[in-house]
Amino acid sequence: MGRLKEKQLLEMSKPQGDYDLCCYIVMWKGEYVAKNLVQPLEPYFANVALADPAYDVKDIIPIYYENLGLVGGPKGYLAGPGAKLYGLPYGAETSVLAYRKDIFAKHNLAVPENYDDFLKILRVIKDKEGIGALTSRGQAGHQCVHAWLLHLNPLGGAVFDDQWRPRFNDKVGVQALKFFQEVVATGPAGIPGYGQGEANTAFLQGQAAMYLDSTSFVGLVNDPSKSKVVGNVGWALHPRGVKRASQSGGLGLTMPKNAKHPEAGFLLLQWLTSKAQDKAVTKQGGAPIRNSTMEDAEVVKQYPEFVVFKEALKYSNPDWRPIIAEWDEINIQALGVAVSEALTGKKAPRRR
Amino acid sequence: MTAGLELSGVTKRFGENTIVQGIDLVANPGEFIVLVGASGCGKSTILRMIAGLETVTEGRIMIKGRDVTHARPDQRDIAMVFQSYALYPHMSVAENMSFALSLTRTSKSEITRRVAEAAHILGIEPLLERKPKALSGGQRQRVAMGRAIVREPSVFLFDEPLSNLDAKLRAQMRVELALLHKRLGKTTVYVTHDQVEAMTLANRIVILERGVIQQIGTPGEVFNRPRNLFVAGFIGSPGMNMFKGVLTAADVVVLDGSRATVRLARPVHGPPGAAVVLGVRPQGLALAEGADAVLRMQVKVAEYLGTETVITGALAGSGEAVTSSVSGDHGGVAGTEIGLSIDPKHLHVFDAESQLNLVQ
Amino acid sequence: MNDNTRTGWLFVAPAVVIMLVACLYPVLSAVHLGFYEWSMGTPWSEAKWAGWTSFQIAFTEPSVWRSLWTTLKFAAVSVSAEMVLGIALALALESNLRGMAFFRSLFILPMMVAPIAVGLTWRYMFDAQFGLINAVLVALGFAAKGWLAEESLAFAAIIIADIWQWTPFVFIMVVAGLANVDSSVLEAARIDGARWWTVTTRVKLPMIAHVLAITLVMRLIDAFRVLEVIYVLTFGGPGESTEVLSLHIYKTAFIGQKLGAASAISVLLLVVVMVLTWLALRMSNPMRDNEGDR
Repeated sequence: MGRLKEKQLLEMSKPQGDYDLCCYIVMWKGEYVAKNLVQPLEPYFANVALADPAYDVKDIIPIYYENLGLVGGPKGYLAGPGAKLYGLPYGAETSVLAYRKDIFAKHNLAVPENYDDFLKILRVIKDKEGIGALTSRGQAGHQCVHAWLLHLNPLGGAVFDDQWRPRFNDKVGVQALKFFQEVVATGPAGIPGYGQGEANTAFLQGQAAMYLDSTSFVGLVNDPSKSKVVGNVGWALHPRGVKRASQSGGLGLTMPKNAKHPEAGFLLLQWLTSKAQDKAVTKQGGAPIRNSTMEDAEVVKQYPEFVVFKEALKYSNPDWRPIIAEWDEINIQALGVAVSEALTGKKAPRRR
Repeated sequence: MTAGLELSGVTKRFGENTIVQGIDLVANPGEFIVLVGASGCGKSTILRMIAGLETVTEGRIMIKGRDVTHARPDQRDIAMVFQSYALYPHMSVAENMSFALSLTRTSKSEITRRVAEAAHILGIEPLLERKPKALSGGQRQRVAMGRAIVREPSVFLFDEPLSNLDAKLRAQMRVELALLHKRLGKTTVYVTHDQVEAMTLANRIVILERGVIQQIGTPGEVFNRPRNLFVAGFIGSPGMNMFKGVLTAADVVVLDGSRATVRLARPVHGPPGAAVVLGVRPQGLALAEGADAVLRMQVKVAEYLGTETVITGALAGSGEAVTSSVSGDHGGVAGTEIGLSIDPKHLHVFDAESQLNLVQ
Repeated sequence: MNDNTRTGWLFVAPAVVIMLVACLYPVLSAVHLGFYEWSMGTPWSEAKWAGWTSFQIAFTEPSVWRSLWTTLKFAAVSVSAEMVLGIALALALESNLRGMAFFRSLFILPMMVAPIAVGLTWRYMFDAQFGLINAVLVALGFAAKGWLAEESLAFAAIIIADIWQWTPFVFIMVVAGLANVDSSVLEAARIDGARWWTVTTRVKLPMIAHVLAITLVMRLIDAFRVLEVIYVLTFGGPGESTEVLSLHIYKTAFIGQKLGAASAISVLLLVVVMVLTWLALRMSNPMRDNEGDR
């Protein structure tokens, strides 16, 4: 994914582009708007010739709408006065805990509800079952920071405070990192080298009892050709720390400013994110972006876990990470190195 | 006296192919032996077997009475000069010459002394610090010889060492080689396809054909008493004339085609009526008129070479090729028919079937 | 200059000019960009003159020097291993044994694989849980290792992948060089009393010194530019343990969006590579020394 951004930047900075629709990662939205590369969507929705009356924007899961679509507002990347819609979610996600029902039943374990239980159960599973307790991403850069942020949020931490002062290295930051170290110590071998693919595989191949990651993982878990754990997986809310807070992120769709046919791009965007299409894609294993899909009886019958996912969305935090233009650099070149060095034990987590 | 080099029954086979067959050869100490033959006759293979670069399939090789058939090349007490000189391109002349000694426990001063001595003999002292690529062909040739001399071997081996030089330099180096051999007095085996080199350098010449020795002898012997048609045709320039004929009496040959009757100086060992080949050196055919003109030839080309004229053409009657070498300028005979007399001293008679010389 | 040389120069002039422009333009353009602050996706008119700032960053930033050091270690270890292994393989396989053509073709395969694919393949092979390498280690009675999860092992991993991919290049170059060695020189050495080791070290290899020098230079330059395999295999981690300079430049340019600084570091990399190339060529200058005795 990393090199997609360079290509998009080059493409969208041409006088006239070759693409009418652009799929972006949530972290890039602020930068694209700041560099004047993408278009606000309101004018298109206001255009009766283009807008579908049955589209129902309010049906789009609000947290996704805010997280992926809005730029501006007091914080720059969240809802509020001045925030404008620049894109719509397409493949959005939040975090949930996948666990092996069979292993938990075998050892009579309770699914961790909070971080204290979560921390304790890591060692218990490792000792009793002999496989990794929790699999996790951990490769240097974006991957390990993502996993650390998963723990930082519910524990009450953040990268910046309300005045944009860095606070990632406070007590909570250290606590989250120590928790992550315990995950590595009790998890499947090699987490500090894991990208998302390796983390997935460890769980799908039965080498880990738990996986705290994205709702979008459900498709793989239920696919017998890729998963050895079909039917043995339960889903629970992201454990509570000082609060419940699950991840927010994923992909969105927008129209480049240099699009040749922006109206056509909008029509395609509108169709891709419409109710009917969202349901159809979800039934094929995609990640839904609409409440109507999450609540659809047919869909819920196919994916009983959506009941949990819908609950998880209530706690999804749109301010899960600062979606500012500098985030990539902070994420990959600063935090991505420091967290990685803590995972290998080269440096100890401590406050400064 | 122990032979300098002795080959007995030396045979080389590659699978089914016999390259060299049963070579027996004894070189006296200090003798200069030249192996000569067309390419593919096995002469280089024999040399390489002596050097130890090729294994011997059968037979034995002795150097100064010691069996070296299976010895490593460096333990045979030989040195070899290659056609391509095979100098070490990354080493200076001095390093090239001292490389072999540096691999043995020879003292530095001894190495320096021997290199200086060899360089002095070859006149390459000013070149000692140069790299081979900065040398001319003749200089490289000298360095290659120097490298051999420095080792002070019992036997020198040369593999067509002059063939990469131009004609003038070749003639000059030939003389130098002869002088060098005289000075060093070492047993030498020299491979060439050039019969002039063979004739001028050799104490004895070994003529090879298809891996078999055809004749061993001094230059005079192989020239004057070729054992068979092959040797007769190979040695001598221009080549010997060959006329088909029939032995009608012990000392009379009647040629096919021209029906000319040739009387021999001595009777030969052959039954009357046998098919023979009459061999005449070009020097044995002189211009003649009347009764002396045994043969008549239609002249195609007459080349005046300064001291003699080489006349080539076809024999009247049979159309066989004729070459005559006569002293003086006779360029004017081109295109005419001339009469030729035969000097019986230059005559050879070969059995047409066995190809052996019947004169012996 | 006589008329013939002049005509000769005129004929080669277009090629020389094109070469100069093609070689120099990117370098000059990198130097030029180094003086600006510019972010991708914004018009060039918004670029800000930054003077020497980027070059100051390039020369004072500890992470730059750390990644340069990582690159030097990587290049030194992998290239010397590739040279030794490639030469050893070439010496072992140069003779025309049966099936050698097959082996030679086999050895070329790694070079032809796209770097991204090489990275992915090795990432699977080094996988701590399911990788082939650990499977083999365990089968041989050793403990499984977290290859990409420990700094020193990850560094070893990128070197192993590089050796696997590029030893064949050295092998092919050396085989080609040895094929041109006059066999009678080697025979002369045997007659002079040199055994296999002496023939190899004092005659054979010195005779192809120019090939070895060119091979070394090409491998060094490539090792300094290595990017894709490491990008895929470790992305520079764990920590910064495998962050070579080219990956650092990549991150500076496209993640940090500091194209000026990235250009400045590129110029630093160029200088380092040029110095190393110059040193390697000084050991044996192929331009000066290439006509061996034939």
